[in-house]
Amino acid sequence: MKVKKYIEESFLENIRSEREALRICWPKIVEASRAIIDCYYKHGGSVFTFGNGGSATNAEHVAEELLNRFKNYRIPISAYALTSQPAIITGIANDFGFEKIFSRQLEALATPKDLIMAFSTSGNSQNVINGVSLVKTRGIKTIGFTGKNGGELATLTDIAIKVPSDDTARIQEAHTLIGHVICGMVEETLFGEEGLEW
Amino acid sequence: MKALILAGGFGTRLKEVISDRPKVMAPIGGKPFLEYIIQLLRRNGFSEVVISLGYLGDYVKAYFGNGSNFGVKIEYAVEDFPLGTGGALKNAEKFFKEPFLVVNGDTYLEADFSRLVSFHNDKKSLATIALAEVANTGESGLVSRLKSGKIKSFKEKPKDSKKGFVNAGYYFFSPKIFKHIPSVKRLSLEKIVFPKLVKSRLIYGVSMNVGFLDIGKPESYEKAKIYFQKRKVIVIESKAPVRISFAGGGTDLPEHFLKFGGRVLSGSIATYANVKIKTNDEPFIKINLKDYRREEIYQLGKILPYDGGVFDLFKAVVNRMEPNTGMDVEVWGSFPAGSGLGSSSAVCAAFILAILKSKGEDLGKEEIAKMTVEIERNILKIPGGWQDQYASVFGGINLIDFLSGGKVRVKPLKISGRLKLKFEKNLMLFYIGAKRSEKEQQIYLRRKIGLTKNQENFAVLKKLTAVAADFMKTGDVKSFGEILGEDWNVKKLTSKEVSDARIDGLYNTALKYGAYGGKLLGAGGGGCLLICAREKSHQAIVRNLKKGGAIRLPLVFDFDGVQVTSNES
Repeated sequence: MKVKKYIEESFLENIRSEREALRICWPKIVEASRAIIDCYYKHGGSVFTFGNGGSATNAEHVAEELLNRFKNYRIPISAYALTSQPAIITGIANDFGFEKIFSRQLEALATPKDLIMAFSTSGNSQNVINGVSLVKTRGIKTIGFTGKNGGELATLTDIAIKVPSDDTARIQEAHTLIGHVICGMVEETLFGEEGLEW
Repeated sequence: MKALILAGGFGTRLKEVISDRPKVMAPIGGKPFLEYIIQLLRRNGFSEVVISLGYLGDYVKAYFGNGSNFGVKIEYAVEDFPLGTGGALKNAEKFFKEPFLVVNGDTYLEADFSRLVSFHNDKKSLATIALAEVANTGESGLVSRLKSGKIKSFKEKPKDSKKGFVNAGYYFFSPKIFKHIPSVKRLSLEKIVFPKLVKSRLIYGVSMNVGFLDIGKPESYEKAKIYFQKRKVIVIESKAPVRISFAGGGTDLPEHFLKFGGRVLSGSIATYANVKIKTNDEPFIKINLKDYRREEIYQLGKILPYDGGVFDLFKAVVNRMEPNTGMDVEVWGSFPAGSGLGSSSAVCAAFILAILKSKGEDLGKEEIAKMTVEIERNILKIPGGWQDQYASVFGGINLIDFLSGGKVRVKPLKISGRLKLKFEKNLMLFYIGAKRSEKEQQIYLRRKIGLTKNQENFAVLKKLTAVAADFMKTGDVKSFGEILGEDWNVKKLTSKEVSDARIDGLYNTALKYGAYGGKLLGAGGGGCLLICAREKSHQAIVRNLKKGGAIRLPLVFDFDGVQVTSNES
């Protein structure tokens, strides 16, 4: 295959899957944005995000843009990625096992007014599932970002955003876009000049 | 009247110091800022409050509930997303069918809102903005007005800040205002709605002549804390002396003096009715009568009904004076019950002065005496003369003239310190047991019926006052004592219930052991016996009156009258 064709096919594949994600996922994107707004605006809670590998970067990306800013200069929203402290992660992995790296942090940090955003393209990463299971016992709202099949994550979370693709790369690209859209909606609703009509 | 408090904002600029709760809940002296606003509104007659909630609204709801702990009825208009001041107003539309007050939840305007309301009503205004005058308009918009009071322009952030009027964040609206806000969506009153209304000349501004506080920024929040800390509690102690009447008692009954004029000679003594007031922000007045070990609590702003009990006097003072803050009141006296020393007037005068001071007012002695008469005689309709009230309020030794036109003139008797001491040494006061109130009623009625018949007796009593005053000025204790006796004899003629066998017995014992004279104080039937005798005879008189159950009380003149003894805030 010629390199240009490879590039074209990748882009077109991305466009196809994003378009399909728009068709399937938009009501869940509304629900997720609304849940984050309620968490911050009504309850004064924090958002915790987590995932493995490429999904870890998605988790950090969305946390940064909630806490710092997306487009507006505005007051920060409390958001925190559980993947960003190597000492904590290696410590927990070493002493309790890798499947506990998120659940143990959440055990320490999460309260009922908070919300979590869990990223797993397969929906079956054990450490992600453990994290979600733990907060569910505390009555915390959960949002899952996953792929076509959804895995266990889709059945466990309150709001499951299932990108209709089997390709990890395409799923993660869609998660990045959806993360941006959610940040934009939250930011415009809470801090924009005119707000959004819901 | 109803008020809307806009309490939904993020408090962006205050976030660095207040992060865990909405701005309106920023603590000041252990209470949220919003509670000070609610009490301010309650004091101004706004008994129903709607709070517009947004950011962390549950926090506000959990604290204030339905308002019953704060003396107002509270309802909530909740917004799911930030709507701005205009959207929040529209979102609360269903609560307001009558003109209403709107308050920015981060602003405190210590003003009398009746001015805002009456201005609004007089102009039949759609919207009236309360204006505060500031030395430096700074970043607040400068407001300029036309002669009519209509607002001509808002200048947001004028280049050169200067002295002028700014929007104080308190508005009075007619419900028609809702027609000018098309739908529930994000909209600023200040930036969108008001400028439009100014263009159509539909909005008025009225100066409130007070400064205002806001807690929008950390610096101004600190200022507000200091303001409320200083203002928080006012503690006032006041006292008023009781009196002994030397001569002329009875001629101060209005039924007599309004026709014929009256005159009494009386002295105030350093036996006091004491009142202590501690203000607070609660909507209640708690009155503790320490001598009776009884306490009652009243809702502020309600007219208190009378029940013939010991609290009536206090309820009447509250009804008449309308205190504007909640308070704890303690009352105690250094006189026995039913002393005939005019103690109820002393209590009344001390309480009136304390409440006046708590409002930062003073009316002067003349007005306080009039008010004391009004409360006891007109409002409570307790029959009796007017001398007690004037003696307690003015203090000193006075000839008090009650003119037939209803005016009262207090002429202080100027005697030297030496003479004052001489009389204090020769006069003795004995408590012989409480006068009975049913007896007092009888005496009063009898005297009233006998007024025409007793007119000559009253005329004699009146004349004796001038004679007694002369003997006092010359220091003739013996003749003064005899005059007291003469006054007592004539007084007995005005009604047979004034005295009885026991009282006569005690009086005659005093004479037997060397007294020049004396008299029973007050309306009669019990209370205190005043005896005038040379010092040498005192021991024997005290010993023998004690056998008859009489207790000696101290007698030192007071020359201050009703006064504040301590005023801390």
